[in-house]
Amino acid sequence: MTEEKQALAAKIKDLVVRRFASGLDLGDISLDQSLFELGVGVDSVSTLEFIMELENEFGISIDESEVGPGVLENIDSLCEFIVFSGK
Amino acid sequence: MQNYSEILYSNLPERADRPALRCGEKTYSYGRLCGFVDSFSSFLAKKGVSEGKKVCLLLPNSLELAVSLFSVARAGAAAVPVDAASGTEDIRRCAEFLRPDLVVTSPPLAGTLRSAFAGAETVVVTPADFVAKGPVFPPVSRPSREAVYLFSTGSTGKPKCVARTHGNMIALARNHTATIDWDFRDRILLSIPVSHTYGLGNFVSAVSVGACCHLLAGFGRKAVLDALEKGKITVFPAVPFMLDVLARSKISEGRDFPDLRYVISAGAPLGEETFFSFHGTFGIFPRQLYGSSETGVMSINLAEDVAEKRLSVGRPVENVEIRVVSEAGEPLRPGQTGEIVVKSPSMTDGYVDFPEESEKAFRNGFYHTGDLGTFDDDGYLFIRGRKKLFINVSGNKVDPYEVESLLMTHEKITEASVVGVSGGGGGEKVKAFVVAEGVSAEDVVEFCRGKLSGYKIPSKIEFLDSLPKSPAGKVLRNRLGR
Repeated sequence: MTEEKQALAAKIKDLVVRRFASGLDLGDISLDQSLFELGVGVDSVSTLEFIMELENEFGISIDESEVGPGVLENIDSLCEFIVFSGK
Repeated sequence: MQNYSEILYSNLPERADRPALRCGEKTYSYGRLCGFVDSFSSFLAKKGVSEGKKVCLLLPNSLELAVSLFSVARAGAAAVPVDAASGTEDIRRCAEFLRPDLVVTSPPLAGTLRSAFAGAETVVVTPADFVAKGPVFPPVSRPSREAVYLFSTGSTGKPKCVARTHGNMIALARNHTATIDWDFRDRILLSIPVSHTYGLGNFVSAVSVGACCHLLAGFGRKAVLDALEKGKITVFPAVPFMLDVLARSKISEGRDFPDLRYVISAGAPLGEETFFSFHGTFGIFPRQLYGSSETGVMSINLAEDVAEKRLSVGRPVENVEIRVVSEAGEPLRPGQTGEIVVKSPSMTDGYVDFPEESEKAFRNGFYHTGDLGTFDDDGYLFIRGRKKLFINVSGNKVDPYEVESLLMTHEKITEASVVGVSGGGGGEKVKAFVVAEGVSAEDVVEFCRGKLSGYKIPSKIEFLDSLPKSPAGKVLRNRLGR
């Protein structure tokens, strides 16, 4: 994994932990950690708020209709989506 | 007018070619929509749909929902619209409670449905089903019969179901449109679900004046912004959560809506921050509307200086009487706070199969909302909280709204909800659920000291990452652990 992607994954993990999984150690979250298990994508309101945090953090615009279960499968899939959205 | 579907057909020769619905890239005229309803109501009648029957509509905002609502009414039966985004358990509860005779849904939802509606016949519709011609018959006309069943979306207690009659629905459209200056030139964006009282009221009112409804199946920021811009929308009913995220989103930058006349906010209190940030981003102030599943629209803020009256839900709409009353039921003067009670020709007369609750809420011709409010000297109503949520601390009543309002003025607190928890001896204590960074429980208590009476200061404080909310952005107090 490139350093760039590692940094991206770390930022996403931090956002996920802050919003959905407080108390969890960042080191305990792997790239294939299911985001749904952490509560991401469970309700539409908190998911949209999370998307807006991603937008602010990475300076990108996201069309939430594209953020389906495939994107929210795990940290890795979300990283790929962020990279794609930033291009 | 006897059957509320006649709202669609009124002035038909004149409006036949005018746009009635816009769904995606397709526009349907009033003439075409009436043709669809003629056809589908005949189809339903052949299926045995008639007076006394209930037809569940499990459909998102769409042509199918619009046609089905009016077709069921025309056949004399009652529609049970259910939010297509509801969870299977919610749908199952609704199905078990009302036991519909028929279910109308669209292909993507048919799977969800089968598990929830064992026993009811299912009709899966697509727009192609509306063009087959059958014998057209006049509407079944009984204004006192049930036209629509709605589930209350209150954030407290268990869901309740109300029936609105054809007469209620006709009055609803009349009250609404006699108050606000809508006409056939308006374009109304409905991304709020038409299956709920707020969306349904706006939809029926818009049709009654021959306006064009742009239907979106759910809320998405880009879809809404595009519709507002390209659809030259003039009226946008929303909930505060939608207005807040639209105001704060990067993709809103540079958007311009010169045709937009009214942005309406209902479903939850509109915060001052959202009020001003929405105006800052889009140059238009939202206006609050007050309504309920039991009554339909009660009031709307049409103040000339809306910034001055921003926290008000406005004055009562035409034909609706609102009073603020004491515990003894006596009307109170402006400036005094009491329970809001309402009398309206659009309101139901009770809950389905819930006589105890009906007796409590519907008394002497008034619906007792359970909301606390105050009128100002200009006749503008301000919601002050929920009577039923009062926390009883050793005989002292605490309004959680008051404590929440104070907590929200703390610069590091972003969300706060206050509930009563058991304090032993049958009494209650005040507990605050707070979303904040860099604040301790001691800090919160210290902040409240001197600003609140001692018994109102939260004795328990729990920090959360976010408060549980409904899709409309309303805090779900009953999900907050006690």
